[in-house]
Amino acid sequence: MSDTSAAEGTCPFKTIDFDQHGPGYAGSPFEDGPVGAVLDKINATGPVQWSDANGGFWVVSGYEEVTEVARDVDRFSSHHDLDGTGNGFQGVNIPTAPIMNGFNEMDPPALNERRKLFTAFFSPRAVKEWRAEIEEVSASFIDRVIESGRCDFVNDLASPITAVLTMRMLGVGENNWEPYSNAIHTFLSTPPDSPDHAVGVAQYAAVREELEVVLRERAVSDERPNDLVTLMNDAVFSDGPMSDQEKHDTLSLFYAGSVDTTSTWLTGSIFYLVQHPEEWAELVADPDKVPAAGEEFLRVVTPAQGMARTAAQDTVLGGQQIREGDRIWMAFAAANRDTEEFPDPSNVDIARFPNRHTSFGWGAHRCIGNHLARAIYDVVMRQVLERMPDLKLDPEGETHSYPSGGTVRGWVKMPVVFTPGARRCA
Amino acid sequence: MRVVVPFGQCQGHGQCVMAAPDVYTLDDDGYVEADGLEVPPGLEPGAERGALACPERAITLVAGDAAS
Repeated sequence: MSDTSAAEGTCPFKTIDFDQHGPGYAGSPFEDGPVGAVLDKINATGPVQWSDANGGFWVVSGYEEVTEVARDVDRFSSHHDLDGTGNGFQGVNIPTAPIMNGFNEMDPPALNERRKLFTAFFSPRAVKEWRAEIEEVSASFIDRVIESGRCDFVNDLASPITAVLTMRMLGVGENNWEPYSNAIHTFLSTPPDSPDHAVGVAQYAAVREELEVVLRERAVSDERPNDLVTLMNDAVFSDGPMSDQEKHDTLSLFYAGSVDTTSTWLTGSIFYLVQHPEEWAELVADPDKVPAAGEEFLRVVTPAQGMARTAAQDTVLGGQQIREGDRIWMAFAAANRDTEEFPDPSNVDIARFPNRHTSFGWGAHRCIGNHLARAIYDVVMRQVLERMPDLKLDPEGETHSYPSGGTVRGWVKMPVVFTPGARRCA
Repeated sequence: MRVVVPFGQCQGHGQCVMAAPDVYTLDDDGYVEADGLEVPPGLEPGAERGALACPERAITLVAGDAAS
């Protein structure tokens, strides 16, 4: 415990026993798992408290305090000093990751230039143009399993649909989605100190080498498709064009930020709904209720569980004295169960309103792909409700959660069964 | 009733449009285009719903007669 962080005039120094990558925090976010109880215990202790796990960090769990951190980019920095030659700040992961997370690990003003460049690409208007393509990709993956009456919802539908769409938008060739997805799944789903995580880091490095090849080819190509590689190759910031290193980091950020989170959102929703037949039937009968239900599953599942910052100055947060350089973790999932903001938070209410959940973050670092994620979610959910209306968990299969729920609260696999149907495409 | 959205407060979540598509619209970058908007009579409940939905609490509604 770091007693030196306590100071006069603030609340008694509060500590908790919490490791977001530990086995006690893995599993389902619904009533069948331990996660809700863990989060409620954190919230009952206080909005800001210290954990000695993972090198030591402040767990920020209160809704107001999480929004305060997310919005104040002057007091709470995202900067990642990867090579250790600067201020030593460790970016947005706890423990720190051995790679840069693109502009997610930048502060203004560099951040603002990147956000401005990419915001239009992911705007609601731009996403509307992608809608037909999202429908086509989703339908084609459902076609692959619809005649058999069974599939693994994660690896046959949720994961590949989001992976293929993401790779098309990046402009790096969708045929190669499987190694990319495997690398990201392994990296995000395993405890950072585990042997499996080291495998994920190595897979990730291999993927980045392939990205280098793609970027070199595209740098000398005359083709200018509407994708993120074109956008980055054309970009000129106040400090010059984007470096090759930053292009890799940015592609990795978009890929890691998109695939596991969106597929987890879909899988979590289906996992809950097929075990709650009344709500499932309500959505089958009226799929226009999907968007509101989706917001509630974003709240309860919280695909991206939290995001880290480094205190850029001495400051007080939630009554606790924070010192410059202290690590801080915004526990989005805990804030999503703060009773001040969400009455009866353990109840899944698919019509909850208002539902100002924390799951996409706020302010300068708000999830830039949220409109795209919402569009993919809406399309896939509607198609599944229509084409697999009697979907059930496979009684002979086993559903497995990620070994670590500390980065993304996802599912490794979820076997399902349904009445076979007909293919729609040739 | 008039809509007030201070410059820079909207972060483009789009939840106002989801809650009340007949009141709120977004610009090309996905930010709300409602600052100064006089809410058409009868659409006040939608305007309030959109304001309530905003995660950034960026939307304020000021009482007043649209005709005045």
